[in-house]
Amino acid sequence: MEQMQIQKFKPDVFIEIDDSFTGVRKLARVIGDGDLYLDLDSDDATPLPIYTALNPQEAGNILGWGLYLVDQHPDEHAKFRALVDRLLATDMGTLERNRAAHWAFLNHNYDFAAAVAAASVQTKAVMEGRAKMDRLLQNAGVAN
Amino acid sequence: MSAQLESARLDAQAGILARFGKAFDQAQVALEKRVADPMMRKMAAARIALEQAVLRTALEKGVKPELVAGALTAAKPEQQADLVRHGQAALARAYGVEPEMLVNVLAAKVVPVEVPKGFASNPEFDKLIDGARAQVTTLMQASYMERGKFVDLGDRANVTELAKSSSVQKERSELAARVAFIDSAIDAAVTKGAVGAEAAKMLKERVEAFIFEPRPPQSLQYSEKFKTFYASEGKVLRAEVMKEVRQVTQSKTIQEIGAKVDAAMKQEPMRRGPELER
Repeated sequence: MEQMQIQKFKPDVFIEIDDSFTGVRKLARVIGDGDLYLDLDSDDATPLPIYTALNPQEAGNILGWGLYLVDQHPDEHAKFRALVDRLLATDMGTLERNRAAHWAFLNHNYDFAAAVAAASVQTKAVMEGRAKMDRLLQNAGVAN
Repeated sequence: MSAQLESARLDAQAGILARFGKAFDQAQVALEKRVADPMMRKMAAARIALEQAVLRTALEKGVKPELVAGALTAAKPEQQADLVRHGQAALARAYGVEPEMLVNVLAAKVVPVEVPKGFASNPEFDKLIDGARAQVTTLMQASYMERGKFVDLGDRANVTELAKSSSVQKERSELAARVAFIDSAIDAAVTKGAVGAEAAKMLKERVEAFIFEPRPPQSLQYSEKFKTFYASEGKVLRAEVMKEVRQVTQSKTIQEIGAKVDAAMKQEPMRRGPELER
């Protein structure tokens, strides 16, 4: 039962957490008192509890990633900054933008198209997981 | 709206700045023969330029021109002079740091900004914050690289020189301008009654922390050397930028003129310009 424990983070930070319906590792944003997260940019996204069993870990943010590059990979910082500027010039939502920047940071690949595609794959997986959840609830007669 | 706020902010900022510069030059020439004292001519030209720039930009955004013009001309001459003084240093350097902050403070009053309520957030603010975070990393990159180069020589003076280099100075100015825009947008929301004063204060503190307090990935660590560096230089950058921002946003004159613009905006709710409809 210990695995069902809720883990708390500082509100507004980004975490990486497993998606319970797809198994995908996703970037999410901590909300409320620090024990819930959102994983989609839409207004009607459902806040979900941060279960320890889903291996939540603080993921950092654009400031944290950029400073890490300054510290450890200074030659990559300019490319990272250029990517962030391009992402900021798009209509992407907060999570989607940060997913792209995070993917680039982790993979040391600052190609705009590749980062956006990676973010999109992650978001689609989250949406598929949510659809699965909804179908299940619908079949069970819990939701209309 | 969220995707358009950043471009609307930059559009308003660029519009005011571009027009201010052009109008200032034109006013200087026009006043050449009428005003003998060069300092008075400069001040008068700046007043004319600022009024014209903000007015035209407000027009572009769909505010009735006479309302904004009224708000500006209703300000006392000494208030206008005080307002211009905030940009005086930069005027001498062809409109550098401070006018940019100033126009951002004013732009926040003509661009509609939805301010987050309580502990919530919204895409507009997230975007402004992410942009500021990226700027902080670039400033720290420049500073850290230079530090590595010179610190062994014990030559701190070179670090100071770097801070003054034009690209770093430009980045720093843009960071201050962005923060000033956020601060002013929150103040405007208080004036409109959308956010309470206490909530606004807390929101400003949160925004400041978001921009300057790094959250590294849990699985990765900064080096001890970098931690020490950021604890010192990051703190200095934060203190300097916030001091600069608050000097402008908390200026009594700017608050009074801002209040007049707010009052004008209340009387005539802004019609969105075509660039915000896209």
